[in-house]
Amino acid sequence: MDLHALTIRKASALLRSGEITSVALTQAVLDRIAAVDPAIKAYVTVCEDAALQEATAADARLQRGGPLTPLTGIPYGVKDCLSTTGVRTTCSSRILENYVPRYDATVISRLREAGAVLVGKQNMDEFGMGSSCENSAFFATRNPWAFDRVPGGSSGGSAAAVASGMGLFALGEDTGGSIRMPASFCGVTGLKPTYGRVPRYGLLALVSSFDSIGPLTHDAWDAALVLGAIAGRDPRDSTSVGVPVPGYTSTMTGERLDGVRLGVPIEYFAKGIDPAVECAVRTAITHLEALGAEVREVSLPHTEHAISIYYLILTAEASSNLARFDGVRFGLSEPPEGVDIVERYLKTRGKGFGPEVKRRIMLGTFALSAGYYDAYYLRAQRVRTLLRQDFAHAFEVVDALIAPVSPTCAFKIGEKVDDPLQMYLSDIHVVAANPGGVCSLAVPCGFAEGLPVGMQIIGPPMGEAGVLSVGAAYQATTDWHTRRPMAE
Amino acid sequence: MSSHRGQMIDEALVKHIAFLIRLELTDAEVATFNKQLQSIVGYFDRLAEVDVEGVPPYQQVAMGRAQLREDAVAPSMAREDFLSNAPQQQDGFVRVPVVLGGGEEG
Repeated sequence: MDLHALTIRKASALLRSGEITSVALTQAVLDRIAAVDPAIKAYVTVCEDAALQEATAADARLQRGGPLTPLTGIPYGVKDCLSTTGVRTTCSSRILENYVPRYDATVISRLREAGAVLVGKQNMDEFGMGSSCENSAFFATRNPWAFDRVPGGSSGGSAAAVASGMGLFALGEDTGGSIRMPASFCGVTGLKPTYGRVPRYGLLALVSSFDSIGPLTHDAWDAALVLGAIAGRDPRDSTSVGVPVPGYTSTMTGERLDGVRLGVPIEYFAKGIDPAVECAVRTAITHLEALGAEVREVSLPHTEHAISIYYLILTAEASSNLARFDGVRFGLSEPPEGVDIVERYLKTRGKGFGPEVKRRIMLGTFALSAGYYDAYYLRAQRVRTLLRQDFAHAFEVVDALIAPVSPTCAFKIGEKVDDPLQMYLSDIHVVAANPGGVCSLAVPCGFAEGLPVGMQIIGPPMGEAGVLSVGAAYQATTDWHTRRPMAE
Repeated sequence: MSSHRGQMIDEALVKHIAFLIRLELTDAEVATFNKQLQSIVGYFDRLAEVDVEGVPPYQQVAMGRAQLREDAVAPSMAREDFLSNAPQQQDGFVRVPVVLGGGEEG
């Protein structure tokens, strides 16, 4: 048995029955990291000693019989934008290369309390700005299915790690596809919860009105277990929602979808989609229909403007959020001596930020500046209202929407780095969910030329239980999610 | 409405924006960003085609209602924890370069 390849559900059962220990499981994951991460480069930091200590504590907890959760003793990794006490948190940026938080993000403290074992921090596009993980200031992560291809972004390290057994699950963060797209490219399951469902305290902010923390796992069942542990109101985040957290797995037992109404948004199958991707997703839709779902076409007419809405609001909010990097309170400070404060700001930020971050905060400052504000930022917020109405109208007649995650499979490393607009356009099917205020689950639904294809199950606000049930029924009757790259 | 605002971007505007956000750029960066920003903003200009007459801009409303926590006294981060990441410090304070006037850092 390859311990590193287990699902949370299976590993948790083995831990409780005493067949394995958390130390053995954690060691298996650490050994897997030592064996494959030199090729994949998913981790920025591995905390081997702390992980084994946490595993020992989890074993003690398992032996005395409580309090136990489904995550007790389960080793996981986290995208390097979530604060971890005493463990470097870089956002894969030079400006935070040596930043060591003195507190945990709420989601990290909730996982600690649940008894999960943190093995390390995962590579990402710098500050979450990218679709390929190539914008990390440290190194590009490789797709475990094909080393010359990207893992997707921005949570690329997290998706690559889960796919290749370097952690039984990961926490990522999705601002405009950053969980779903890498999940799709790497053949794992990724959930972008509704904004506000999971508290953001301790997340290094990219876009404060879009950012959603969520799990990357092997299947919908595991995603439900992780979501159940991290969701729920947090007094330290006023945007976190007080809606009670349901027992997500309690509604996920069925293999049938009788009476479930699914919509296929016609705009998501328009020009530019790879025929092999379209074929895989349409085959999955036929499968869902065979499970009893009612399928109909719907229209989300403002989809073609989603990229503009998303990037204008993103860059505007990011330009404000990244103003905090001033070389004074924390992070890089250049040069260390003998300049006035403006010179310090200019040099610190000029040296500390990579090209994509510079590009985006300039775009955002442009969109917010006098003379351009009405035509760009304000107009984007108006069209955002229309985009949200599109989703609201669709969810009057269907329970969930089925769409591709990306118009293509994982592209080649280097293929789009010189053309930022082409890189932005690769997000066409994922960005709308964030300004649209909905939740979305990405699940593997096939392969094209050896590369995974992903399907989105998009649900209404706070509709996580519904999309997870659809995903679970699909996975109970298909085996795409059980395929593993780099298996012996 | 003009559909060519992207073409209003030039190197002088790129330099101006970069200074507003306190970002030092090399001449090569200015040239590259000028071209890329023109192309990206040119794409954004398609938003001008959407009829937004009478449509209000979206305003973030927390689902349900923004819930504020009780205003109770609680410990804040310890001084040494806060200072542990400050690049320069002195006598228990963060050290900052001169803000007004020139002269020596102090």
